[in-house]
Amino acid sequence: MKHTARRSGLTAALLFIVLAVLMLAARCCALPAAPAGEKRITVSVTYADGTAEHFEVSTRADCLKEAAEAVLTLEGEETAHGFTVYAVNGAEADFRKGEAYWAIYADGVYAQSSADRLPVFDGGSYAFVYERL
Amino acid sequence: MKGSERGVSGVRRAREIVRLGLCAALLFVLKAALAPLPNIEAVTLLVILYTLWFGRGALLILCLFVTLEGAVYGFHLWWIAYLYVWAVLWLAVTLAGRRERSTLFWAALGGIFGLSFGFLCSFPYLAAGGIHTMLGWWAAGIPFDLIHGFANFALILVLFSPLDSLWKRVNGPKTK
Repeated sequence: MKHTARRSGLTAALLFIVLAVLMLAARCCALPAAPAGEKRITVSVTYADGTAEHFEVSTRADCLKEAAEAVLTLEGEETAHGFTVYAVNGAEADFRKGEAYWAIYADGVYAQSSADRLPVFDGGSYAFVYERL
Repeated sequence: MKGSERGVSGVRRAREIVRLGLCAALLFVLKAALAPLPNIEAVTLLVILYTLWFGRGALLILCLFVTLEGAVYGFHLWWIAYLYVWAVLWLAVTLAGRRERSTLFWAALGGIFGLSFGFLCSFPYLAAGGIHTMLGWWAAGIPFDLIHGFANFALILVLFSPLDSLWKRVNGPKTK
């Protein structure tokens, strides 16, 4: 009985370690590192009324926040999930108020992380979009 | 005779209700006390122990705990996940607890639950914003899930046996 209990404990511990490694790998795949050097990217903002602004940016920054701040004013705070954007160019979309938030898209796909953790790639297009909750 | 039996049963039930209430309060207070440490909590350890000690009674503790969490911190999207996430742990412990298990097993189960916590909590985001929102939210929180998993593993490995032994010494081996 004790032998079985010990074996199931070891199996569960092994499963725990395998799951942790898989999650680490998933995280690394989800967020590849930005390449070094100059990158030309497009940064867009879509406001609550549907109007949009587009900017061509040349940057050596690694993450979207740093690159976008060359043309945009981003307001927000560091949270457990990275820099959370509450306002872009003064236009507020604060999810804490339960109405809307600033969604981030990379090449048209909903971003996998916050603006300060999202790597930028040459030729990439990045968008801040006002979205209602 | 029947009256005295009813009296004893009433006292026992009252004692049980107080005990479950205190256990829920302990969950809530310990969670608040450890809140400054990111994703390091004693809730998983206590839910595992409560499930093993009280069986279905632990569900009542979870109901009280989840209601308290919502009442104090607000009934936001995360709270919807709280409605089922702790019940998932209860179910896993109930099923696994049918056999004799080692402390290492419970530590690993708590660890796996910690690792899965973000994924389990991401389902309300599937309903709110679709699969990309759900996966984005989950992927962004993976580092915190890893902390959660390893913290659960370590905490349960260290505290499970002493707390379980203490409980059994005070209450006897069968308390369900």
